[in-house]
Amino acid sequence: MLFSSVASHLKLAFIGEDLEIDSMNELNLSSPSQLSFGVHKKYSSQLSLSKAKAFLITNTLIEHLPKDSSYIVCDDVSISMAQITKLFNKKPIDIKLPSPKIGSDSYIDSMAKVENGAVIGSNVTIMAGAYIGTSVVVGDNTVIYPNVTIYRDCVIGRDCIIHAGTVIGADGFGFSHTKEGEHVKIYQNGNVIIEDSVEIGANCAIDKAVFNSTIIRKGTKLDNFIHIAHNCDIGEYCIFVAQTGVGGSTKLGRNCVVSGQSAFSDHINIAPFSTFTARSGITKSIAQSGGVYSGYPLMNHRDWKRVQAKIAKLND
Amino acid sequence: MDLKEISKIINSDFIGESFNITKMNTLKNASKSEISFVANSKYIKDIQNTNAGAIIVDKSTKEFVPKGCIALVVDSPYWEMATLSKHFAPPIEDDALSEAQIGEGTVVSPKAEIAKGAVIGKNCTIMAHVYIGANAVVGDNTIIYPSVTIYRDCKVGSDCIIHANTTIGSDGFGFATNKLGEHRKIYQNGNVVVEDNVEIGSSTTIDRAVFGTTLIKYGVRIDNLVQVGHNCIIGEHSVLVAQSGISGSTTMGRNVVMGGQSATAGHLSIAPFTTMAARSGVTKSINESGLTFAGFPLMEHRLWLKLQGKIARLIKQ
Repeated sequence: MLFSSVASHLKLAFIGEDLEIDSMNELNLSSPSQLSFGVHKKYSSQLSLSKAKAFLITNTLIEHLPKDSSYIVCDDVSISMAQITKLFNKKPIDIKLPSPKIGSDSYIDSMAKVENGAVIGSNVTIMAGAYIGTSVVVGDNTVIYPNVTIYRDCVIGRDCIIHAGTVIGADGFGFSHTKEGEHVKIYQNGNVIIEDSVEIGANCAIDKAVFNSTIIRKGTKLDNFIHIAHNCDIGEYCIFVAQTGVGGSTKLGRNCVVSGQSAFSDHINIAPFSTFTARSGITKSIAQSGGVYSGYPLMNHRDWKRVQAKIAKLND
Repeated sequence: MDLKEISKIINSDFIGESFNITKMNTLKNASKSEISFVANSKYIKDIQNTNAGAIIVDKSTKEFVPKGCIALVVDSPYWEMATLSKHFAPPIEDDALSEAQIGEGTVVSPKAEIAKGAVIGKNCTIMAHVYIGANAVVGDNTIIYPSVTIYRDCKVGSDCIIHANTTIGSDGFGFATNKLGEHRKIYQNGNVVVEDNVEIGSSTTIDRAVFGTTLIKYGVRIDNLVQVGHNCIIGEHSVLVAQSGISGSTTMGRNVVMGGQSATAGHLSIAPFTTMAARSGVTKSINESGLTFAGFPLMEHRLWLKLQGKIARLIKQ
């Protein structure tokens, strides 16, 4: 899409050269063919280092643009950005792609649906009611139980087990908010990547990224009813017990253990080998690895036990 | 159903002429052709003002039944209401209904199932394994992702997006319990109405009303794994973040935000523009609008932060 058509969609003028744009991305992850955006002054240094050549920005950020950029000045960049994500959104199904490729010895139930463009490895089992979307890739030996839904463009590794009712790749929960209190959808144009040997329980929800990928790394195991928001990166060999949740863009290192009903805020980083007991509420990044934590607000497990003992005594 | 037949089902007698009862309803909403019940003496005022044609009561509440309304006296009105609800439950599917209507430009996967009597608008996308029940209505331009189930009689507006595996209109969690601790199902004969421009995440459940409607108003955004109980009303542009839960009959004003894993008790009323931080547990109605709350028990967010500071200091003492 030409940058000039982005401008005309917003009914705004663009400044600089008219460029061909293939997709959108965040400032620090953009390539020269991508459209990026600067919402706030705190991103001024990221803006000046961005590899993108076309931007949606506020008036105050013009001076921080990289040299020779093309740009559109918007009154409310986050609303304009949301409106433009719709232009890059793919339809839910693409029937024009070639029929799915199915590897040898794979079993696909007649009540399952595999869309065109999908690639299924060998020795895979796909059970009744499962839905494998457009251009999805599923690796060898993976078992997909009934009524699992995998949205278009997601990638599932080999030797995975995905239990019934789980949804991989639904839209992340992202909106820009108008002054009137309405919520404008930010179309989620990324995907989900599940690496090899991952097991996911029943009725889990793993959302696709707004741009790029939500990643569940090798050997991680998820119990039932788990929510993983858009753009999360879950490290290798993590364990998530039932009903846990992870907010958007949060990153966990390898071998973290997350016990039942625990949850993480968005945009935080958790060091490898961290352990969280049941009902932990994690709202800040953890830099040191190997800790054991409890409670909400979160504290060291030892401290939490002392606090609980003191609270128990308050009733004496 | 004839009132005489009803009196046989619940083993009660009545004085007066029998007439046709069309459905069951609450004391407040019942009309002349409907039957209601009273299970709790705190609803005595509602009995006196009801327009119901008949009421199931016990001995203690019989005297409050207004003139022109027929009283059916039983030992346990709530239990008998549950008994009767089964007889008013419509069939799950109904072959007598006309063929489903599908609007122009709408794509329905051959692996989706649309029951008789359903009406689907224009330019919708209905993907594989979706089930749309009898008499359900879907507006224009709505996208319904795989394995979504919409139970009979429910309505979904235009420009909505419903993500995979979500269930709209499953039975509300309502039971009558007897002295032996047994639970009898109260058949949920209401529906769910989702207004226009609503987005609902994956594996979320919105239960149908026992009578009347569970209502999701215009522009609401619901995340994944959210539970909305029967008879709730969610106000315009409200936001329900992942794993939050709203218990039955709770009503929210516009632009309420429920943070992740937060939850409310039943029968509450939440003022517009209220924000609940993650993990809030709401057990009382909120009357003042525009405030932010946190914690369980719930308190203003400011206070909660102070309290957590004090708790943290307990460690050092």
